[in-house]
Amino acid sequence: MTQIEAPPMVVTARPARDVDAGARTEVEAQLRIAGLSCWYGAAPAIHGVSMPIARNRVTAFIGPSGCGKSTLLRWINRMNDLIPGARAEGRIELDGVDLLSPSTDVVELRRRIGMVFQKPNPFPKSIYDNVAFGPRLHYRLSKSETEALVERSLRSAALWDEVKDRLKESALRLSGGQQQRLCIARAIAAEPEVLLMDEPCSALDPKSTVAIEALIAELKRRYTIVIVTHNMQQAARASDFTAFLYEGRLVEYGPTARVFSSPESPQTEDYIAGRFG
Amino acid sequence: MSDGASSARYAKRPADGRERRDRAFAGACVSVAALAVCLLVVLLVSIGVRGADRLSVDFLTGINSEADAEAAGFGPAIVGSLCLLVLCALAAIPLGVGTAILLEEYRPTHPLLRRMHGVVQANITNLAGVPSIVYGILGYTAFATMFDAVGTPDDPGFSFGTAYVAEYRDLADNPVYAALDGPGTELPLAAAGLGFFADIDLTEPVAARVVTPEEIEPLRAQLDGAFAELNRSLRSGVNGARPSRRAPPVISAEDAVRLSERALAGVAFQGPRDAYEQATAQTLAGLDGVSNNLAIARAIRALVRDLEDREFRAAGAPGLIEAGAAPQLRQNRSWYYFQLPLGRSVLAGGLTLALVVLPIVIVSSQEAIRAVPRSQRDAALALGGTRWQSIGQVVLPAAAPGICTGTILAMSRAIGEAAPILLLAFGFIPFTPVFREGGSLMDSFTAMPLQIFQWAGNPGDAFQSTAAAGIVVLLAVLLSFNSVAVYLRQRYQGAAG
Repeated sequence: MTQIEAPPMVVTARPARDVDAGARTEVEAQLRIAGLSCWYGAAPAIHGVSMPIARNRVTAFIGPSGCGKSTLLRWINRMNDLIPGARAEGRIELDGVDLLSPSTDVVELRRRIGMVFQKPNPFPKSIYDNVAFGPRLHYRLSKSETEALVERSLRSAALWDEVKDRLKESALRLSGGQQQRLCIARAIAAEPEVLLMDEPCSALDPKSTVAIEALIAELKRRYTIVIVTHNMQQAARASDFTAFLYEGRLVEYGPTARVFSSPESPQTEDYIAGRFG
Repeated sequence: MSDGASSARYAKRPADGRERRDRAFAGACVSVAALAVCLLVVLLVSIGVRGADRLSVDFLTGINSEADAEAAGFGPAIVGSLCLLVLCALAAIPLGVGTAILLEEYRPTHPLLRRMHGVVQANITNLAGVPSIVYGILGYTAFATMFDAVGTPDDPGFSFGTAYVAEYRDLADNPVYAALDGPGTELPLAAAGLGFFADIDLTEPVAARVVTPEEIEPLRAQLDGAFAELNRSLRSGVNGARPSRRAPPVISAEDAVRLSERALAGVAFQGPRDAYEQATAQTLAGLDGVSNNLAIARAIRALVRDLEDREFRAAGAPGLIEAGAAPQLRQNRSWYYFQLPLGRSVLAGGLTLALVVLPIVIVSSQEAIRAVPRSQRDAALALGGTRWQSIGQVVLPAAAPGICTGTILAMSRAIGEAAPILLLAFGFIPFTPVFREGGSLMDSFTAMPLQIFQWAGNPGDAFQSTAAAGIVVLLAVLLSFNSVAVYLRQRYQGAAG
């Protein structure tokens, strides 16, 4: 297995499907993972991964089950802190500051880096209270400010028109796809800079998946998005950069179009071609 | 098809009455269940029938009687159980839910702490199985006597909330109290002259009481007569006043009424004798055509005092104290009286019951907390919530129905327990604990199961019916508790599903 060189901090992005004028310009890395290794107890999970994550772009982590892509994602907002025995070495820099350092304010970090989980996990509260949950944790908001924020977040998550008349209803009454969009609205209501998505469509039907993918394309104007997926078509459709992980190592990283059209590593090629995984 | 192949490969079981055995088993189950229900119904009906004629409002509110089964009331026991329940809930719920949160949400990572965590968890599970009489002895040792480390219950090593009062005896030999600042305060003598004191008011300082109209009325009639007599004697030259043939009545009838009212006001005036006399003289000075005011005043005072003495003494004179009487120092307990050790008090009983139900509260709360999906906590934490925000705003609200159900069932266990409070409660209490005047959490108490136990232990049939009536009340309370728990469970299960 070839250990690839960490890509430079500034990468030139040429994502095929991106029509933004700015897309062909150089993009800046908002996050930078450097030599990250991690263990669950004694069992190693990730070996020396280094890669940048570009600002206002979608970066996809792909790879077979157990390759460490979710683990890697969960280090970015330190959710792995909650798992006993999980530890990491290396650096993950957010705007140049190592967020793995013990002095990091994890609560503030998680406000800046929102997360959407594999299974929709709305709270058993009203739709309104779900979206307002994050802001209420961090800010002292008036009623009108909260209302405006909830509406803005639901609009951003393309859910407003469907729920505007029943904001006080339980979020558990929504369909799976709506619940997942609600979770996205809830995440962006806390006004993060980065959105982490851990297989956000794996529990959804194809129609909802299309809706979420369209939403991702829209959201990347304002947020840096990292998405874990085991669906290669989804990675190809929705992402600008792709990282292929295999057995805890970063096998290949590059602009999505390049990775899918001319992969450098035979492993990547095999995986993309569906020969394993 | 493969069916044919398999039936060819294996010999088919003969039709040996499998279905019949199945039906027989179902029938056996039904009859066993029916037997259990029948027994329960018979038990309930027989107790209900025996207790029915004793059940009445008087039984529920009346106080107990040791001698008369007909007169024995359940009041002190019901109030006692109520107090125990509230105290038990106040102690067990915060402690139990808190412990459950600690055990479920704050799992330590350090190996040594993890081991301690495991030991605590195992112990709590074990404690749920400890016989309740053991808790009784534990409660007696730990709360009632506190290992004899801080004095004894009768001579507490620490106490507050004691009010010191001066106790007087009024003319009818009833106690009359006046509040004092502390044990060292000089005891106030009853001021010169007779004075009314507040009946039993621990908050008011020694003070004169205002005479009520009912008390004035008979006195005034007598005084009117007395003044008429006084007028006559004044005219005829008694008390040093010169007789005057042409003199009009020295005091008119109206004046006599006014004067008697003023004089009665003077009765309530509690101060030096001179001031009393002066006040009376001033009253008299306001009257026209009166000479030698001081002499009349003296006469009136003598008359009034005579009346006071005679009338009030005869009437039992509530609150009226002999001039110059010396009080005795007494300790009275305030409603917030507290002492260590707790003694055989209702507080000790409530805490002991809290010990009994604590493992139940902890385990059921733990289960409710554990049932909240991991993903809910993750969602709260990923939004930048602190651990406490995640617990307080997501985990506890979601676990609340389960915690409530478990807690209510635990409380119904507490209210039905007799063994743990056997060493702490009394079988016979003539008052309702805590809520009587001067009651505090340090009051002795009895409880429903214990009272039933005491009645049932009495010889003779009469008390057996009383005990049956008590059982009916206790069962009614327990059933209502359990139905609330069932209702909560049903309702929130429905909402979650």
